[in-house]
Amino acid sequence: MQNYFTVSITIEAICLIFSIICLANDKSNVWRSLILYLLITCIAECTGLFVSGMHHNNHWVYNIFLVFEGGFSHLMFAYLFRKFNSNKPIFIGLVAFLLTYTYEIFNHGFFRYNNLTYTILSIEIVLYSLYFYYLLLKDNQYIDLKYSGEFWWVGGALFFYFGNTACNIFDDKLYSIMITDKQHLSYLIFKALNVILYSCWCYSFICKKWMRTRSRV
Amino acid sequence: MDANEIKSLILIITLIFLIAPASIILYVAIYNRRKKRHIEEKEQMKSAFDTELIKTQLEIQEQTMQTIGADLHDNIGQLLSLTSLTLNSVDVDNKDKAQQKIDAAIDLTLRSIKEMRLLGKLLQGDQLMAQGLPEAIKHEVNWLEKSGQYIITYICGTEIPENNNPNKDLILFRILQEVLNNIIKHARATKINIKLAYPEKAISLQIDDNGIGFDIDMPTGQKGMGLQNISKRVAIVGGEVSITSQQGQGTVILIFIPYP
Repeated sequence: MQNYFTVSITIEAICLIFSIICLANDKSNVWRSLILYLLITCIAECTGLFVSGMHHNNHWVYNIFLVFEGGFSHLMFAYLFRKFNSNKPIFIGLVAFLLTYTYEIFNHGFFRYNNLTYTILSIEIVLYSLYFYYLLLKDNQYIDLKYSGEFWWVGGALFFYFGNTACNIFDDKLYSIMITDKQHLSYLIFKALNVILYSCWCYSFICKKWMRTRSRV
Repeated sequence: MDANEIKSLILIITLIFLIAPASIILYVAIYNRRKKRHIEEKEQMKSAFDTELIKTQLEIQEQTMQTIGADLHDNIGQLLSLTSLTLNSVDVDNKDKAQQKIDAAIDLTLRSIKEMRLLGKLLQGDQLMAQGLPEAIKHEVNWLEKSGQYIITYICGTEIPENNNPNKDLILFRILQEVLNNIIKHARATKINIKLAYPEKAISLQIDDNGIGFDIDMPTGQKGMGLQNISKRVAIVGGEVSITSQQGQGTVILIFIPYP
């Protein structure tokens, strides 16, 4: 039987549980929608694993998931930028993402992973994250970063997609580096990035809950 | 470059890519802490400025009350006592003399009324500032001239800007009062020149007298609180003060403040 308790799926499931506990009563629809996104992530990971366990091509699963990944990331950043009245880059990025996705689907079909789209999405998210930090620093208002859900959410995304971009670019070479007889270095990096991403997100959800309860007091 | 070297290079680049976000986040956190300190400092400065402003307002009020008290005692009180004495000494049987004394009493009463009117204007200190700094200075000059001990020249130079800063006006007015107090108490001057000007994005006030002057190099403690207060207040509004004096040759005080 296929082992579904991989590092990635476990940390994603933990993050989903945290999101349900911390965000279910959040007043922001965008933050609440992250519960749905994490649920889709867990389903996609399990489906991908199941399909690959049946010795079938599972790229189509991740191609579908890529739409959700891009959609939710843009939605979240649009929400974060709205506070600074700076939404223009999101529209440009979204158009670039959709155009690349459509191009790749027409180019090589649905059963090969849209690697270019994913790389472009990763770069866009890195740029959005840096831009968000720039706006945060430029803003006159002081925010205690220790308790800022937005800061930690973006921090997680920056870590994951920054590292991911490097790994994607050097994928062929990194894959050939073995740590043990069965363990590839690239897999270890992806696992570590996943753990960092979802740990940051879990903490950001906890911050959101703290801030909500604190403001109510 | 062999395969192992390429692998090492890629490994290093990947590590850099992984470390870079951590550095960025660390930088944001450090910058944010600095921003917090800067905001706190700004708040402290604002609080110090507000406290100084309230103190200045209170001092202006106190000065007004002192002037009124002194004027009531020394001037109006004397006039009314004299009026009373004159009226008491009226002999109704001696009509000619009685008429003279009554006329004198009327004259004294009219002078008392005039003095009272001037005092009334002084009491409306806040309204005086509302008319603008040049008017307030003019009023202060008129009051001092009334004593007859000083020849005062007051020049309000260039055009007054449309946007004024009431807080800075108030502080500058209080500084002027303090300088004039110093002149009255210590300078033994006979001439005072006051010049108010509005150069570009600034305000300047120059006060000079022909008094005995003082040694500018004497220790701070001996210069008295007045001069220290002037320097402190000018610094609070981001301005500069220059004091030039020599014993026997009068004093020149020049204040320059960014405005409005």
